[in-house]
Amino acid sequence: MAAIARPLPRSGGVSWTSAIPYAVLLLFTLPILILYGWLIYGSFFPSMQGLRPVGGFTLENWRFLWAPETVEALRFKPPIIPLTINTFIFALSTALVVLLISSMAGYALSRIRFPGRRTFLGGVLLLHSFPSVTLLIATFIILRQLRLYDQLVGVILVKTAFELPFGVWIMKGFFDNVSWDLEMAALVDGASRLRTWWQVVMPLVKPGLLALGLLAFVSGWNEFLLPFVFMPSGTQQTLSVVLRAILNEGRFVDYGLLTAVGLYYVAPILLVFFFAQDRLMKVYAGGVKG
Amino acid sequence: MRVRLEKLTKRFGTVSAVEALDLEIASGEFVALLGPSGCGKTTTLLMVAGIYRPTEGAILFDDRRVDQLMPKDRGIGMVFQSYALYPHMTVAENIGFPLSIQRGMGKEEVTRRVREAAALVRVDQLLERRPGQLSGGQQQRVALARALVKRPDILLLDEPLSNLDARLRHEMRGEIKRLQKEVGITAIFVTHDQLEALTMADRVALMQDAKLQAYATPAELYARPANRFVAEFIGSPPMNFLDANLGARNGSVVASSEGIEIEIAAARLPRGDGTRKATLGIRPEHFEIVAAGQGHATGEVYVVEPMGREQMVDVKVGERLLRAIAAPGFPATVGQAVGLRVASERVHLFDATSGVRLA
Amino acid sequence: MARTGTLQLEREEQAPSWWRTNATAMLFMGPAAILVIVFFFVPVLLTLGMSFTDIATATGLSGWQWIGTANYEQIFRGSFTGLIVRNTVIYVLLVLTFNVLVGLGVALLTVHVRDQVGGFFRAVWLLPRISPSVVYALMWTWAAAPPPFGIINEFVAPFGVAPRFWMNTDPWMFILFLNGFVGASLGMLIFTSAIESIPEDLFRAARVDGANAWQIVRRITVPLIRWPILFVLVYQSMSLLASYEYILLTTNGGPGLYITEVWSLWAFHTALQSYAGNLEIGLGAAMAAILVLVGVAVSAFLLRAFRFNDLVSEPRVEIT
Repeated sequence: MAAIARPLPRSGGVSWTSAIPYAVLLLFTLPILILYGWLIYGSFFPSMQGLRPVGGFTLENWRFLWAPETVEALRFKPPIIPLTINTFIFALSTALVVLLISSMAGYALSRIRFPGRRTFLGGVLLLHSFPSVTLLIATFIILRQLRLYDQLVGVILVKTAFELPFGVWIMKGFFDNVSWDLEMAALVDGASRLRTWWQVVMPLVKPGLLALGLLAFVSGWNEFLLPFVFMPSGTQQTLSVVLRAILNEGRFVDYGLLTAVGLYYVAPILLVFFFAQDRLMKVYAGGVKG
Repeated sequence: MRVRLEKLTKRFGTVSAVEALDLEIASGEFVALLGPSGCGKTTTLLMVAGIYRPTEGAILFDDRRVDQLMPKDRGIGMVFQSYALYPHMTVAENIGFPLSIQRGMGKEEVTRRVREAAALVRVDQLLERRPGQLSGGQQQRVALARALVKRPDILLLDEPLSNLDARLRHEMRGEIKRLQKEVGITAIFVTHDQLEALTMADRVALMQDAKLQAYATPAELYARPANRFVAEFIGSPPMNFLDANLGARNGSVVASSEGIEIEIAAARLPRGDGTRKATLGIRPEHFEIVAAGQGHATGEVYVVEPMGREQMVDVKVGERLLRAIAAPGFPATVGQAVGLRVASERVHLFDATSGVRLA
Repeated sequence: MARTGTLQLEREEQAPSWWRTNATAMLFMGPAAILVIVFFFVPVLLTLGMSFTDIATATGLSGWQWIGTANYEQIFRGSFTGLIVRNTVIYVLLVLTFNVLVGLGVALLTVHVRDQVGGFFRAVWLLPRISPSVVYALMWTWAAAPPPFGIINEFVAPFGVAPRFWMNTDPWMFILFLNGFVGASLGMLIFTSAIESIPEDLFRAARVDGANAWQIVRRITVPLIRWPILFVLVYQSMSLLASYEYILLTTNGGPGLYITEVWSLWAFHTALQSYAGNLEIGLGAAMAAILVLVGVAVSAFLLRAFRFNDLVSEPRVEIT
């Protein structure tokens, strides 16, 4: 595909015009590269003035990891390590529940006849593009009624529900590609639908499970709005909410600390992305498009 | 186990896939469901397997009605066109899968039965491999072992040979036939290839457009096709057909078509069918090429296709091409005038409109 | 023998009950169905319902009354409504234009260059989307910080632009770039796969016919991906209309009163984050209800226009 619209090779070597797209692309992309590069760079200096570090290389900004009590901005905040664990629990539970429920519903929608199947499929697709964030106000009331307000479980449930239309649709797509012969063979061999799903079909959609799981985990790890709105009192807070609180404390914040905490928070995502970007990008593109 | 289909019908929406199919398969018999694609043969097999539910009609195994039963309660084993081996399991796990589901079978018993089934189809050296590491023929054998391991009463095969290359196909044709007789199992297999059906099956059910066209032994299908479709479908290269008028002469019937006249013993025709329009059917292998002016028709050689064991010769008679088979050494050159002869008892007669066999 | 046969016929002729037949499907669909009902279906109805009440935290959420369309009247007569509508239109149009144009540009450029290079740039463009919104907002906030901290000032200084606190002096430009660099990746991904599915022969033929790169893009590529472009336009304008997370994390509607407040953020502030202390949930619900209705309508349109054919195929196994 790389050859699309590329000029035909001419005799006489590479022409300078072939460098133009690279240059334009680099120019457009530069802001993103600078932002991320600067985040990493800035976290190792006491402070930055524009692009110039003030003072020498230091790990001082990272002392929130080993000496949190000495960090002014964190004095009245929950310690970072439990926050990280909370965030991890939130992301992992969301991912696992999304995987389980999506692969069950996706399987049924792909493979089982039942009344209302078409309606449900249409509904999933409709919700897939529906902006769920508009429902936050009503969700607030529902969580209070269910006595799940201000609890991690409640936020996990809401997050799972909001990820579900995407997950169900993706999993249905993966199940659609599993050969019908295999499914029929398992049924003839005596397996029930439940066993066929678990023992025969699920192992065959492992790539899909992995991709959706990663995606749901990343989405949970990053989530800000839901814990911010539905879990205000703090015992089970997540990194995003606390980081935002530090950021929001005004103009005279310690940017050195902020970049270090920010980098600490985004690092796992960057690692996941580095190792699984092809897979994630495919699911992103396929998922949004259907 | 005897299998009986009674008025078996399957419709998808308004489309009829199988229409009022009656079929009886004797215990231990090997029956082929043959027909062009879309004729309803695979749908029929999937109804017997329990994957599809019939719209109408009944399926009986011996005297037990099974059409509402789940596949697992029917005592069947099945081999799929794609073999449908579970790619994430080893050969041993694949073969053992049907047993692992049944409750109360000990591990050792399962291992023993798996070895036994694998030995039956000669894949006992491959038990630890995965399907991806097997050749097509080996996968086929594993699929057979998995279908047979729970000792089903009925074996179903859906286009079992179509994914194999020509040489392997020949080998597996014999192998499946041997296995079926050795195990003594009632077997139904679906194919679109008449050669497979004729060589392997005890009886062939030929289907077209959701309906059963003929149900007979291979020899019978070849020798006395029930209608024009059967005559055309069975035999390769296909039968020659000619529109003809029937007329009485000297106590026998003469079928005359453009440039051809063939006398047929009146006794072969039902009474009252002496004069009317009909379709003549003559198999290429029943034409004998003779000198011009002799035989029943005269024409000139149009195309010669040497096929090794024999030659296919198309002869232009009037405006029509008639295909004949000649011995390999036969000196035929394009444009040469030749005669065609056929033994009158080899001629098939079909009703011109309904296609039903007359004689 | 024949007799037992008939007996069995009669017994097994009975079709299994509806519950038996659909038990498996209900088991598989159950959890998803419950979550969808509780967190989508009910909230939509609840939003619409609450918009006709005066429910608020000041009355303890329980002592509420039906007040008809009073909330809607209050919204339409509100002195800030005009400003907020204007803000919303500016926000959606600006960011949408940026997203689609840049997304298309990056897609075209990345399929134009070598495969690995294109993949690298696409990955970079996806970074903002997969990073925590708080960290992404933090980076922009810092970049736009007042002198001597922010780096934006350093980059524009050679062009004679006076250093400033961009988030306060040019909040809309700040919001445009902040949201634009996140949102462009959606179009980029969709357009890339659409372009890659165009048969190579079309481009070869065009080149043989003497078309240059720009002509190929304008006359062949863009017309062939017009449906993906339309999809991204509709889908993204709806998501922008409903989204406020990045604004909330940076200007939070400011600086000053409602300067960058958009409709969805207004609803959020009114119902869930009011500085006045009283959360006017009913009023906020009325604001959100309008967005919910738009969301349902646009999603239904997208479903009809783009995806309905996917629903047609039926399962090939008739057992449950």
